[in-house]
Amino acid sequence: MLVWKIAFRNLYRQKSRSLLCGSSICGAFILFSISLGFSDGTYGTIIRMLTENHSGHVQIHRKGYLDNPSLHRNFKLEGELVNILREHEEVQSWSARIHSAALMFGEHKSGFGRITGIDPKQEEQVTGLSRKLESGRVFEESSDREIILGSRLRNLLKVEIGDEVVLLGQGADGSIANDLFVISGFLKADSELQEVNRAYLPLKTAQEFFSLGSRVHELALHLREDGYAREQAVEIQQKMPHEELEVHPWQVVEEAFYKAMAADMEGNWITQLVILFIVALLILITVLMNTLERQHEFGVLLALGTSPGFIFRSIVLEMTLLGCFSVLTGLLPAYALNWYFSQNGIVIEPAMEYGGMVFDQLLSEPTLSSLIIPAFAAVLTAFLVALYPAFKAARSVPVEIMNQA
Amino acid sequence: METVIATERLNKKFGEGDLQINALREVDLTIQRGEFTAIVGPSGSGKTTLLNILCGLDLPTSGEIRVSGKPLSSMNGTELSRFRRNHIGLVFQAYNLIPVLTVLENIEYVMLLQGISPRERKDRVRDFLGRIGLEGKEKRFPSELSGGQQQRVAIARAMVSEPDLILADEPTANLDSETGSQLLDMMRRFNREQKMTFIFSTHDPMIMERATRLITLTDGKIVQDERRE
Repeated sequence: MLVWKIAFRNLYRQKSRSLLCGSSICGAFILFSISLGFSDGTYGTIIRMLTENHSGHVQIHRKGYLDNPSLHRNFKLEGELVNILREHEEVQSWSARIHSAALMFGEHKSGFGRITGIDPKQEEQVTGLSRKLESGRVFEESSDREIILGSRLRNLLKVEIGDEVVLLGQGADGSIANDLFVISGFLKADSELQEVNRAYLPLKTAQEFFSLGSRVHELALHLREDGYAREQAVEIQQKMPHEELEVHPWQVVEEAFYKAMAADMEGNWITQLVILFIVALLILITVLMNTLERQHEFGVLLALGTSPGFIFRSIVLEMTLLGCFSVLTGLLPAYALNWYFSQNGIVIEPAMEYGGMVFDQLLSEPTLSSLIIPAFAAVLTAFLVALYPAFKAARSVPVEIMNQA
Repeated sequence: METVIATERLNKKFGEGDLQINALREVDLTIQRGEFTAIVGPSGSGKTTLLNILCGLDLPTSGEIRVSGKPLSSMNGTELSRFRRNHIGLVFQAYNLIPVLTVLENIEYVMLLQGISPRERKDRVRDFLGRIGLEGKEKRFPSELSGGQQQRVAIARAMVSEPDLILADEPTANLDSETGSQLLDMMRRFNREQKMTFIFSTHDPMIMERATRLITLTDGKIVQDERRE
C-alpha cells in the first residue's frame, strides 16, 4: 500500500516530467495502434479483395490440381457433394468452375486468354461477378454462346460488346475445340491482374467446349465468417465423399500471395518494434534523469531503513503506472483515429498493386487487437525500461549518493 | 549500565596513495544507554564520518563496531538497512522528510517498515504530534511547513519507533537559535523521560551546553572525552 502511495504521489509531484514521459508513451501507443489499424485494414482489404472477388474462402479440387492444374484433374459435381455443402452451416454459397486456356480471334486480331467456365448465379454469390463488369452484362445461365472478356483481352482483340470472337482450344478427350461467341460484357480495367487476361464462359458451354461433360475443376466456397477458412477447410475435408477431393483454405490456394503477405506483415512488425525502441530510449532517458535527480531522496530512504527492494518496486511501479495512465489516455484517441481512417481512407495515387490486387486507398480497421497489442507493448516497455534505473537506485550506497546530491 | 555503542580501534581512510586522508584514527568509544552526547570538533575532524559509521551508513576501513551488541562490519546492505530501521533513529541537518508524504505519514514511515499495527502506529503518532506541538498539521506536506516544524517532524520520525539510539547530524544548523533551543529542550526532555540515547555531531554551543558528555575530535582522533552531569 505504501509503495503504491509513494509511486502515485511521485507521479503527481513531478508533473512536468510525468507529463513529458507519459506523452511519449501515449504518443507511441497511438502511433502503434494506428499503424496496426492500417496494417489490419490494408491486409484485410487485400484478403477480402482476393477471397470475395476471386478465390472464395475455401476451394475444393481433385487431388494434385493445385500443384499441377490440368484439364484432366477434374471431378464430377455429384448430388452427395452438393448435399454436404448444403448441410454445412458455415458455407454460405459456392461456385463450380472449370479452368483452361484458348486462342481467341477477333475480327482483326488474335490472342491468348485464360478461360473460366462459371454458373453466373453461383458466381454472383461467391465473387459478385456483376461488380467486376465495366460495361455490358453478365450472361444468362441459358445463354450458351456468350462471353465476358478481361480488359487486356479487349484491348488485344480490339473488340466491342456484340462483336464475335472465335475460341480455339483442346478438349479433354483430345479433340480440337472451337466455337463462336458473342461478347456480352467487359471486366473493369482496374480489376485484379489475374482478371485482365481472363474470359468467362457459361459453365455448361465451357464444359461442352472442353469436352468435360458434367465435370468441374474447382468449387469455390464463400463462408459466413471469413476468419476461419483454415478450420473450415479441415472440417469440410473430413466430410468429403472420397479421398480424391482436396479442400484447401485460400491461404493454400493462393500460397505465393499469402507467403508474400506474411513476409510483408513481419516487416511491418519490425517497423513497429523500431518505433517502440525509440520510445523506450526516450522513456529510459527520462527515468534516468528522474532517478538521478532523486538520488538524495533514495539515500534518505535507505538511511531510514527502507529496503532496496522497496525502492526498486516503487520506481518500477511508478513507471508502470505511468504506462497504464498513458495508455488509458490514448485509448479513445487511438480508437477514434482508427475509426476515422476506416471511414475515410488515405487515397493512394496512382493506385497500388499488391500481389495482383489493385487498390486505391489505405483503410484502417479499428480492431480490438490494434488496441490491446499496442497497450500491452507500451506498458511492458515502460516496465522494462524502469528496471535498470530502479536497480541502480536500489543498489546505491546511501552515504555516497547523499553526499553526491 | 547498558552499552549501546562500542568501537575498538576504528579507522577510516578516504582516497589512495598520496591523496589518502585518515578521517578516523584508532577511535575507541563506548556509549551507555541514556547518554546525551555531543561530538564536537572543527570542520573535517571526522564527526560526520564517525556518525555515518555508527549508524552503518558507512563502513570503517578497520576496527570493530558494535551497536546494541551487534557487529555492524559483518552485515550486508540489506541487513544494515534492517538494523537501522529497528535500532537507530536518524536526524539530519537538512531534515530530509519524504516530500510526497504528509506529516503523519512521515512520522509513521519507519513504523510502517517495521510492520507495527495500524492502531499502535496511530496511538504513537497522536502522542508525538502533541509532544512536538504539531497537532492539526498532520495532513500537511513538508513543503507547507517551516524549517523548525520540519525538523520537529524529523525528530518525531526518529523517535517514534523507539530506537536504541538517535544520531543527529548538526540538527540545529539550519534553524534560528530560538527554534533550535526549543528542539534541543524537547530532545533533552525525551532523553530524561525515556532514557533515550542521543549522539549529536555539532558546532552548536547550545547543544554543547546541554550535552552530558562532550567528545572532541581533531584530525580523526578523540582528543577529549568529558562527562558532565
